[in-house]
Amino acid sequence: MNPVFRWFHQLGSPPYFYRFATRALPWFGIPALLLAAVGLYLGLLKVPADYLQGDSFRIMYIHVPSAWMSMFIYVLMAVYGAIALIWRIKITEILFLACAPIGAMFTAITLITGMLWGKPTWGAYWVWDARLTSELVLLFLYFGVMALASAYDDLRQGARAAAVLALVGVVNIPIIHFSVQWWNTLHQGETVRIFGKSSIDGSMLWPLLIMALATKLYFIFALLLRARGSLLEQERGKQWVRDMLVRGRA
Amino acid sequence: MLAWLESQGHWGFIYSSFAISAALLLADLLPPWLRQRKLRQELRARARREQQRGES
Amino acid sequence: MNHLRPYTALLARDLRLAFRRRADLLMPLGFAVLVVLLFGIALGGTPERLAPVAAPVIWVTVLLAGFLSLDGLFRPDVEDGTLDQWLAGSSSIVGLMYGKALAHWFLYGVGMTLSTPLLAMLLNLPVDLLPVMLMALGIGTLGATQIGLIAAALTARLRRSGILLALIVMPLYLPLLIFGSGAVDAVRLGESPRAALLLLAAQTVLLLTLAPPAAAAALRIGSENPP
Repeated sequence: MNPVFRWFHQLGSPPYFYRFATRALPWFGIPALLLAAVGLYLGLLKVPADYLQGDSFRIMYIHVPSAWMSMFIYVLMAVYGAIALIWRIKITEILFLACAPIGAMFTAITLITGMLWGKPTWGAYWVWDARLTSELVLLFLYFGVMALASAYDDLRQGARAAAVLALVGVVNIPIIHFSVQWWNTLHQGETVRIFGKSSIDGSMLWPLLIMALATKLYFIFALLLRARGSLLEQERGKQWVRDMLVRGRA
Repeated sequence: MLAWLESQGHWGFIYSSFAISAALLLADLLPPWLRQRKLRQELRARARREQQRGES
Repeated sequence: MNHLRPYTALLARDLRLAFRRRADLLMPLGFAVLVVLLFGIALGGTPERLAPVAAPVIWVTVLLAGFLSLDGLFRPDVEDGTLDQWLAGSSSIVGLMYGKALAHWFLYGVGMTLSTPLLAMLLNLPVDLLPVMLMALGIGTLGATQIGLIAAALTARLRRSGILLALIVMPLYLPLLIFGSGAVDAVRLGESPRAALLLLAAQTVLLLTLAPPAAAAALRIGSENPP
């Protein structure tokens, strides 16, 4: 069998996944921290400010990668949800549920940094532009998934119900984006694209890409951390947990 | 408070963006981490007790 | 047409039940009028202030009225065991979903749309906006019913929670609201509402295709007993 396939198969086994997550965590967490430090240093301090008025554009280095992650995570969450519904693999249910709070966090960061960017640049904390409005809707889509899953007493049942909702949401996200864009151009006019990039200078781009990579690595770190914790909670009575803890290898 | 923030100029907004983002990140990261740690300690203690009881 | 018997029977039953409690039928209308009353008073009751917001207020009122009825969509069937019988039976659950949705739409979609002239009068809606309003509401409520169907199916066996339902339903209502009120706005500005209405219809058709299967899946999941 293809080794990659086999590895995926093995990850379905709780003890294997737990051990893998424990070993992998530092490999994602530390690079994420380092890359973020580099990216933020470059973006917040090194990139020249004479491009746009003032320094407030630097918030972009937090805002944009967070926005990307907020959308990417929802799609990934929906994929995990679909796998969980079709194949009912417990680990995928756990991974599915773990995605939601992380995605919501990135969405919240996107919204708040967007507001803090908007005020010095455009004079208002909140503008009903297409992106901010879509992000606000996305936040509620995340909250809906989280609330639905936790409303069920049985964790696995809740995960499956929430997976249906996540799939409905993922189908609707492009529609919502399109409709909000359409609505926005009708009411605000085409000219006001609040966070539009006119032309990105090379030196401005690098910190952005570094931050994008840093947020991805952080996401994997946080996902593995949460998944490991959920797995431990759900499997607490099992023998493999006892063995692993007694042998001191957890 | 907002008036103070606005008087700090662009960097005020930049620093507060960073600070709030970091705070949200920690708020998302720490609770599961701490919960896990506590659970691990609890389960480890219980497993060790059971093992000792089995041996004695 | 015999194979359609279970579904038409369900539709007929739901409608009969609804008409049996006449008072309940008028509840969405009553709610709508109350909301309009609140807005009317809050806005001072003058045509100058009411007319510009009349269409949006009617839209939000109709959506809220439909939303409030969602809890009762499946709960009675859960409580008296009918839902379990459906799931155990041989009828297609998806077909039953269409029946449920249709019944709900008759009461809360068509019914609300027919009440619109009354609301329009109370809010001083410009008369030339009424036709597009009726058309958009008719199509939009059909889509909204589908969204509500999914949400109700997902929460059928849970404790009653308005906020959970709202959290699920409101983001999904948005495109319907945008295109629906966009159509009315187009007419207000003297343009053709066709683009908006077509987009609204497209959204509704998509929902008609995807929502009943999703709701059926949700009901099945909700009925699985914990291991």
